[in-house]
Amino acid sequence: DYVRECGQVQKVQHNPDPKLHPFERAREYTRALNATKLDKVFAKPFIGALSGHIDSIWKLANVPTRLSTLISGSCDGELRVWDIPQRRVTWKAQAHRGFVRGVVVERSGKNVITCGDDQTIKVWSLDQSTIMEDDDEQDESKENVKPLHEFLGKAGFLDIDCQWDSDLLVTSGMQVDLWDMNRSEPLHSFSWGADTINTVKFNRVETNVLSSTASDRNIVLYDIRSKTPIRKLVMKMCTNSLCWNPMEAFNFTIACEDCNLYTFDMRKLQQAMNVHKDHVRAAMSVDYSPTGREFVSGSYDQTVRIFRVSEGHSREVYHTKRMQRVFCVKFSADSKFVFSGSDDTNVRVWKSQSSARLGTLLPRQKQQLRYRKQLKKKYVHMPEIRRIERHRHVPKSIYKATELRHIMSSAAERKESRRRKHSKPGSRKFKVERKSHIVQEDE
Amino acid sequence: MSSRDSIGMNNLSDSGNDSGVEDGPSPVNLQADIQKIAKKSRHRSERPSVRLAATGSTGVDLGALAVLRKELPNVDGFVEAAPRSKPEQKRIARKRGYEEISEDVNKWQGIVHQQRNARQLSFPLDKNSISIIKQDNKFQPLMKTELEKEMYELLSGAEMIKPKEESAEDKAVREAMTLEEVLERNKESWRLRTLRNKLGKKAHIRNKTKSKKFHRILKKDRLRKEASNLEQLGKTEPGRALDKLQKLDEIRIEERMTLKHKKSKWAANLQLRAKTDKTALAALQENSRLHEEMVNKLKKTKEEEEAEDDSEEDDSDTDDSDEHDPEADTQNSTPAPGVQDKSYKKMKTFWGEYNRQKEEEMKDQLEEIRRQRKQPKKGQDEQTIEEANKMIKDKLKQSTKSNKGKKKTTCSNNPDVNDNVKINEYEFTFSSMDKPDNPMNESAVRLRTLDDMENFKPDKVAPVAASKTLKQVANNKKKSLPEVDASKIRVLETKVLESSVVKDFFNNDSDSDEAENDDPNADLFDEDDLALDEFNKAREAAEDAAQPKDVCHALPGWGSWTGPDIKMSAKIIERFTDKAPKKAPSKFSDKKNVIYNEEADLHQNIRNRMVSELPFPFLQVSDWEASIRGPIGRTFVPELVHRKLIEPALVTEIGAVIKPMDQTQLLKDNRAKQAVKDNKKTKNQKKEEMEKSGEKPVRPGNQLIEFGSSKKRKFSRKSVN
Repeated sequence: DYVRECGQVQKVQHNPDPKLHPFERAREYTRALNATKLDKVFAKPFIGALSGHIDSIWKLANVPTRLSTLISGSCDGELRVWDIPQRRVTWKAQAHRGFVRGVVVERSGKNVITCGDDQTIKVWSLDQSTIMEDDDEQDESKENVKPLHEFLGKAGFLDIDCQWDSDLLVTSGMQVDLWDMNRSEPLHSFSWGADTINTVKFNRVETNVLSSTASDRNIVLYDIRSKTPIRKLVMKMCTNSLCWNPMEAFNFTIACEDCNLYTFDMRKLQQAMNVHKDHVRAAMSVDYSPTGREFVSGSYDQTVRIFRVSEGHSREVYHTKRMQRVFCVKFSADSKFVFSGSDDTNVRVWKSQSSARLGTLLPRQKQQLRYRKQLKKKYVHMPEIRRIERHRHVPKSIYKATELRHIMSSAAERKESRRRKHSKPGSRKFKVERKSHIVQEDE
Repeated sequence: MSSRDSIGMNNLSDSGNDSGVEDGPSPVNLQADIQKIAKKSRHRSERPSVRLAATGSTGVDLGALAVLRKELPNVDGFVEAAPRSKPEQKRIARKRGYEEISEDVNKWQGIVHQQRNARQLSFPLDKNSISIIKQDNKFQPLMKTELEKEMYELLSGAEMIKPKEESAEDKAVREAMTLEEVLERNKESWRLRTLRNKLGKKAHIRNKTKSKKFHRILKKDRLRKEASNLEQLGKTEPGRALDKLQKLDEIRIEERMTLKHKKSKWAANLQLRAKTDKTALAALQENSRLHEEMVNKLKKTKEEEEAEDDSEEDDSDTDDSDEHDPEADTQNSTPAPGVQDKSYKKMKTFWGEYNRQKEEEMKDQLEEIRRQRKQPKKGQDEQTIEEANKMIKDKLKQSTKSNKGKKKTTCSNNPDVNDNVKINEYEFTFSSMDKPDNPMNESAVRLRTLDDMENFKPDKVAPVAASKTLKQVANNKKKSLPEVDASKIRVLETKVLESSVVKDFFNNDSDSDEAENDDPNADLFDEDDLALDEFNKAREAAEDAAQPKDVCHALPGWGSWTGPDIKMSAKIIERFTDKAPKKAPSKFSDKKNVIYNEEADLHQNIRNRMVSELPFPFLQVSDWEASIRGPIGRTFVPELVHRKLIEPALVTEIGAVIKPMDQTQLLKDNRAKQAVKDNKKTKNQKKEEMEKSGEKPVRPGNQLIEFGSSKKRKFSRKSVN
């Protein structure tokens, strides 16, 4: 006669005596297997593409205060602000001549700041009154949207970032410039060596530290209080993108031209904490999940991969036939979605967990999903489950390239081992993978 | 300044002299001296440069300075500090900056470590805010010195310290309960309500009951309880017991005074009618007679009880059965004559009928047994069975008779109904011995469980059953069965029966065998030997096959001539042979009657579900096995355990922006707490050491500020709410 509050569910007495429930391991194993298969069945990570740009998308930015807004800047200088649930453009503007190199939203979430090849930094109000109706109107409205402010620099800018807890801006290009929002001249310019500085990024926890990557293969850390660069790391190949871990103040990950991603501890730069391999062409962009446990990377090989921070190989790979080289990726602020902007002029929206269910779940559904997840975790080492769990389909080109890379790396390894064998014992030292991609650390 | 330098020089020369004075400097001394010199020279190289700068800037004694400049280059190890180049300066600044920052970010180490090892992480992170508790008037600050007291008085006199005023909001927050408290309260109130309802219902039902008997029993119960209470009270507190007794007496007196006990509505009415109605008068008389009888009966029973008590005391040694017997009860209480007759008659007829029925049942069963026997000739065994049946019948009659007799005469135990049943069983076992395919077999041994089924063997049944019955008989004897003569039943031992039947059976078989074969064993053993040989061969072959073989990679014609008659040299063969490692003997190698095929030992399905190597995070096989041993499903474990087990490692809120970690999270870090703990520990250790050494412990100053203590946090969370 007892009825649960939430519905017409009768209370059922359950006797947990193990004699009454035999074959527990066998049954749970089967359940785990089924859960793994179901996971595969429901793995539909692609949510949708936001199309509209007429050139490759170079930069994405999300708003620190909102989940539903995404901003994209393309190679033809167009800036678009997207309403993601509606999958349409809120407003757009011809922001720059040439590339939109950098897009960032101010911490208050009110202003968008862009920089470009045309030596300008522009500040836009995020909430524009113009609302798009159809395409003709859009073109007209594009002319109507005007920036709030505009700063002129001495050279083209390549990247821009905003400090998390104040209004300081930093731009890169010929040198790293530190800006105050209320001044037209940079507060300070950092330079160490003379080469193009491609990206610049503020540490999101220890907000006075920032880092830049340059074309001469180096990564430089700066301290804005002492107004000096503090350390330089030279890699074997150029770094395309860098992202700080939002939960671990001293860790950052770089997307490197040599297809790999490297996670570093800023206190110990002589060796990477982890090398993340799986891409077969240059990794172009990296962005951390706000939980700090994983990050997403986009690559020139037309795939988006999600890595766990502690693991060397990706846990997920996303690709579609139409997606071309991925230039920029972004995690959503609730860690549930991933955005990618690519050469095919589309912004794509993916789930970060490929088989996750969208929307609210009933408590019982939640519990069921948790149970399945735990079962999978428990039996993940079983060969059958492991096989299903690990299987991913990738395009043939990537599959072949991976194979080739494997052959090459194993050949190199073999060669090295033979050389070691035939040289004086102890004269050829073993190379640590984590150190082997670093050239030097400059003080 | 110069004097100091000269002193340094002297020192240097002194040390040099010292070393020179010694005839043969030992290597240890020499080393020490070298170190000394090195230290001094370093000091000198630093000191003058600083001093030079100082005096140069003030412009004092430049002449002396010039002299010094001339002297200085002569001193060993002195290098003048050249102004650093700009790149060098920058490099130093960078290095220092990096070191500082690296040191600074170390503060996050604790929380990062904590997060990486947390069982569960939930995002967004809790907002930590610092709140300052103002001076509260309730608590007088602890003042140790006079000065402190004076200061406090002054301050409070000047009204510098204001009592913290509680705003309405604060008050509401303070008084408001947390969710847990509310839940707890609701739970408690629910429990009380249900309990109250339950009791109320019970009381209602009790009060509604119309049965006078029930109420009488209740009253009796209550009175008994009160009496026992009173008794106890008498033992513990005689004074209070006396008071209570007095009160009771008063109540009794009051009742007596009302004469309520003598009055009866029915009697009063009859009294009125008796004047005219004769039947009423008769009824009244009958009533008074009954009353008298009752009074007499009461007296009698009291006497009898006393007598019985005596007798029971005597009997208690022999009589073990304490079972409550309704029959005995009825016999014990001799009712009023009229009533007694009726009840007695009823009882008599009931027991008569009961016994008759039992007898008939027994007869039927016996007849059935007889009918089911299919043997045409009446063998010896049947005769014995008939005899047995007869004897049992006799016994039964005796027992029933004695039952009847007993009811009339004695007031001690009457035979249990169970005894009859037991005898039945006994008879059944009998018949089971009679023929193995008898349907009665089923009841010989009760197969209650699956295990019994498995263990069930028809050969064993008979003796087991027999022994059981014997045991039962013995037990019955123990349980006092005065009428049935156990010794006589013992005579009917099943063993006799068994042996006769089994003997006959075997005799018949052996007879037929003997007729056909003279010596059946000879051939049999011949065949066995052959089979054994074959088996041994097969076993050896299998063992050989299981052993890994040496592999020879030598090819004829390589390095030597080859042809039809040319054999390869043993050297070459040996050189190119890969020797297989010896396999450890299998667990069945010592058993000569088994061929063990290792590969067939595990089913392929099981092989498919075995891991080939120990999975990554585990270091021992046992750990790995333990990790998958216990079930986690709600089918197998209790619900709460299940929920605990399936807790996700990462919890994120839907539609919530997860902000990067900020400085306030450091307050939550337990490292500070841990540091305090460690500090305490070390302090204690130090104390102990000091006590050992006899020193007095030094009073510690302000050591560490404990951030985010539980109290503070609770407060802050509440205030945030």
